[in-house]
Amino acid sequence: MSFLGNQTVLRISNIVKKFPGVVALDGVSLELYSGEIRSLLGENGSGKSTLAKVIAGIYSPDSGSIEIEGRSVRFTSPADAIRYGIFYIPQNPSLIENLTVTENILLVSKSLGLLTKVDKVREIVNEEVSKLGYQIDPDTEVSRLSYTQKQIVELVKASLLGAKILIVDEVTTYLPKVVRESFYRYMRHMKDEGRTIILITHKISEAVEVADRITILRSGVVAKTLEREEFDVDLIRKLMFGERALPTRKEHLENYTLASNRREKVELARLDNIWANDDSGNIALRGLSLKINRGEVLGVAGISGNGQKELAEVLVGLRSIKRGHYYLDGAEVTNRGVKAIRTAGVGFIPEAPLYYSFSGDLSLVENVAIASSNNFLIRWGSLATKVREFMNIYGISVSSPKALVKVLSGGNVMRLAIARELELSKKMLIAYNATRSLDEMFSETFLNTIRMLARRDNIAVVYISESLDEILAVSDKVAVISSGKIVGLFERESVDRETVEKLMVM
Amino acid sequence: MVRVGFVVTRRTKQNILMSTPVVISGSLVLGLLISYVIIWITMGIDIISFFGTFYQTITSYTGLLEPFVFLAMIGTAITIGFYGSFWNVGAEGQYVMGMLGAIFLTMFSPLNSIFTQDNVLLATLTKVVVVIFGGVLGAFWSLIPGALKAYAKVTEVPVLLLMNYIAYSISDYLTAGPWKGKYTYGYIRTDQIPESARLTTIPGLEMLRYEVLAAIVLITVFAYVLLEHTTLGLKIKFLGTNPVALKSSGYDDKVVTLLTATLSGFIAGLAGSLRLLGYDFRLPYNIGDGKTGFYGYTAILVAWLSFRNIRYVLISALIVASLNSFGYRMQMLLKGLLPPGLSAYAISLVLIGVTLVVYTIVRVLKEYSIKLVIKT
Repeated sequence: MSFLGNQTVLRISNIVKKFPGVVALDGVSLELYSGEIRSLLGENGSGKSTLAKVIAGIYSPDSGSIEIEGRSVRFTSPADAIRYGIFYIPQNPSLIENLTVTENILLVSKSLGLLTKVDKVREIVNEEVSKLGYQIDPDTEVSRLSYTQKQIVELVKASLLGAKILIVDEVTTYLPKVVRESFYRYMRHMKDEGRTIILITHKISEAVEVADRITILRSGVVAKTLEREEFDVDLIRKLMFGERALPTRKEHLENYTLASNRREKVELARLDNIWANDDSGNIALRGLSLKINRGEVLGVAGISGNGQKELAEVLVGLRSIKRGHYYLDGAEVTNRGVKAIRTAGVGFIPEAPLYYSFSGDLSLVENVAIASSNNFLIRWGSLATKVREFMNIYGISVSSPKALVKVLSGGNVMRLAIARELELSKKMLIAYNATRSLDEMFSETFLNTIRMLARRDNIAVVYISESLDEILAVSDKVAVISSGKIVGLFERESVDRETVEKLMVM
Repeated sequence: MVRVGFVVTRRTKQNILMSTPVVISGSLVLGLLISYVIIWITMGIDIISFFGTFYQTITSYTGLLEPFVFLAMIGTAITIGFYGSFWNVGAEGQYVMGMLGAIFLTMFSPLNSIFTQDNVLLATLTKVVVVIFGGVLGAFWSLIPGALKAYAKVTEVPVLLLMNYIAYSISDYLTAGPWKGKYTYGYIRTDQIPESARLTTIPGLEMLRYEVLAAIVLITVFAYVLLEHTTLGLKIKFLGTNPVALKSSGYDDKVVTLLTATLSGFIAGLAGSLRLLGYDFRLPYNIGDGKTGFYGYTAILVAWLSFRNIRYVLISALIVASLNSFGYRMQMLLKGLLPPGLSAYAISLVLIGVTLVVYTIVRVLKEYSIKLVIKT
């Protein structure tokens, strides 16, 4: 351990932050030391991201104070925080898409008066990226990078620009193990230089693996800060979820598995040699074929950026098919639009519901109505009752169904998406990285629900995820996607993690 | 080094002082005070005559009614567009198209013969057809930029603005050419529409017509029900806030764009045909030279003042109408003081402009609290 380990770099006291209808932080006090990796753990809506954004100058707290190296500071913008060496890497990469990697870094470095030479930046980027065991051409436009690559650029940017405190918000959650480990290595390297890293996650295993200390947030207050020696998964789980932390219901699941095995496989949908482009017009799906059966969870495993997003969009009808055929429930729906597919009883839970499913500027009840109201007149009363039910069943913390969706935390937005779409999934459910922003408890409940839907209600589920663990846990059949094609298909009984991982990187 | 910054936080508790009616009326008072200072500095006029005139303006409801109803109708049209992010700055052109439609049917189509007969019932029914036809032309005029937006991704704002000038030109061409009147004492303009085609004045409310009153009630109720209670209204709101979410719910954003444009243009067109049948009775030449009262443009301010909220369109229309009429009254007050080249409309614009700036600032303060911090 570094001898710098005990110096306080950041002290926050009594931070309160309210949003209309939600108290996100209710008096949070915290001390961070130089040369540590601090993990912030908490379930959805516990206030992790809000706290991070307050530290990073994105939000101004309603009350409370922040001290950096003993000096009281008041940030009015993220640029203020950056001047103090605080960098925030958000869950959704915030680089400028139509600039190159070098340009993105120059943009910030110039404002800090550092590194203004293009060639120098290019050189350093190459060097730092290869330290992570990667190759990224510094002259590539950011829009062409995958999620992981973008986050690597963010990490390198922060490091180059002299980050003293680096906040990493749910970035590592979905990364393949190898990549995640190189991320950790890089973080440890930064820590050894005396920098502080705040790792925000809802994955207990991740926090335990890499953090020096864990601070657990619950309902907007600090439940406890644990030292490395005190790490204990059960204790952490209890601190995160309180009394609700129950063991998983394994037996329950097995019963459903038995029932399904006796059932005959009936095809519901089929993709036949599908070709489709991505947003920038490059080919993303290259002759992908897939059979989707009723009552079966079909997991689609793959490394981010191999056509999963486009596959999900093709399945729901949002992306046009250049070549090939898509059959659903006995009819061809190739390029027939979203409506033809949705009205056949297809639900869609996307990775980014605020982009695909909801309007943040409208209320919860309006966002439920858009998907489920078919009459000319909307029956607000019964819809509000339905939304209140959703709020209760799915634990969505917000004051009323009339609150705007944008005040919800990331995890709560996802819960609302799940609530709405499960209801619409009469025949098929398409889930695409649906658990990215869900906490452990709710993820598990969600996975159970999916299996139950398949078993009990005979619904076809396409479970596209970058988390192989989840896919292996939930799927009856596992398809592996790579470069826009299915490169492997396994039955649950015969699937082998190593083979799948090999195919993923093929 | 001392630096100054602003801490901006969203308000979580609604202050009674910041409720929308208070914000609107407070902005009005503050806007008037600031306008007064501007007018006092430039033209030197005492505060008593200024506010005295304003008092006269708002108490003489007969004078206010006419601008109010037209601003309310067109303001509603534009607000519907705003909900769907269809920035209808072309209501002026759609309004003119409505006028053209009305005069065409009453004077230059076979329907003209109906108005020369003595059949009151038939004439009344035909008037309804005429008014609706004006709406249809307005809708058509708005549909062109709407379709370009939906299918060719052309930004609607410049197209809508240019469509206004095309409408003016068409009107002038027809007025000076094929539709030029015979009984105009040498002026270039059309003849007046037949008496039986005109709308009926409400006794005691000289500036209001029964048909216009019915239209404003119907349009207001329609717009409210549409936006608050129908699936179509909800689709328009999604179009305006997240079209991708609209698409992934199974709706075609292009179709909703067309519908939004159509509805918005239709209502502006209705206002035009009602105007012609109820007030103008003929088309003047050089219609773009202020002869429309610029209602189509002024109503953009109504929509803006109501801030994309259909519930506040009427009150906003009332405020803008008051300021508009106030400007015209000021002209009389400022006779001799008004610098050459400055019209009453300019005074109205000062009043409306200042009030809107104040309103916009207060609105931001309503949503956010802003604190000044000094950093050392």
